[in-house]
Amino acid sequence: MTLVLNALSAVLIVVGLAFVLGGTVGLVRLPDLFSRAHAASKCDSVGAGSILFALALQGGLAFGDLKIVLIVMLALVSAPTTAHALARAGYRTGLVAWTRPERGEP
Amino acid sequence: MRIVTMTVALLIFWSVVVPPEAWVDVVVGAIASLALAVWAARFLWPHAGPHHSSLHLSRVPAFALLTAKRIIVAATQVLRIVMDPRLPIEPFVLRQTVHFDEEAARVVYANAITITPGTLTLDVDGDVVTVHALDPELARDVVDGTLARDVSRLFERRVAS
Repeated sequence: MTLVLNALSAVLIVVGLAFVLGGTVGLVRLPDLFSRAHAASKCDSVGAGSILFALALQGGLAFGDLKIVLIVMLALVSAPTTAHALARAGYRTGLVAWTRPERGEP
Repeated sequence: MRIVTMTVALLIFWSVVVPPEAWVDVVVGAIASLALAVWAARFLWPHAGPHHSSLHLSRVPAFALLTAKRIIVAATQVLRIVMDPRLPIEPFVLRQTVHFDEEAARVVYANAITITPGTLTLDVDGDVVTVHALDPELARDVVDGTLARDVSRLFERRVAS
């Protein structure tokens, strides 16, 4: 049973790290504030959630797991709220969203 | 009354996150919870508190599971996009008119859009929601109204149009 839990935790941590890495790469590669807000906030929240669930599995279904579940819920509420606040600030100050140029355009 | 309700809710949250080991922990938690509740009542909803009269609690687990599925599928697609050397994105801004009877439903809808990778709520002005999407495929559930209908079913009998 411990072996299965350890293996599952390891998989969740690797998956979480992949999403966190994806969020970071997206932050660098995506072209404007709005696009970057997608990667920076949401890939990270999935990554953090995955890693936190791995920690919960390692906790062995103790009281501390409830704390982790609450932290995941808090992250799932706060991450989109922060992303929305940043994006709305950009939108209301007149920032124009990047669009892919038509073929032939510079 | 809503200040008391919120203080109790925050204190429960505090007690789980910081299990009290001495009476001072409870006192600090109570003061922090009360301060936050008073601040929220004064600045976040000065005219009317959030109410959940039409929230169908029985539908919340199914909605949560569906949202979790959307998040995981869309996060995987975003991951694939940002790792693709060609960076295959077609960002666009969408203005959508969606009617909900309750403010809470509007907040859940805006947050459900933002929490789903690939779509981001830029602004909410009355019934008009402005959304930024990385790619048309990622915004499908928003564009065709599926997400709005899911939120409507969660809160009210009338389906959004």
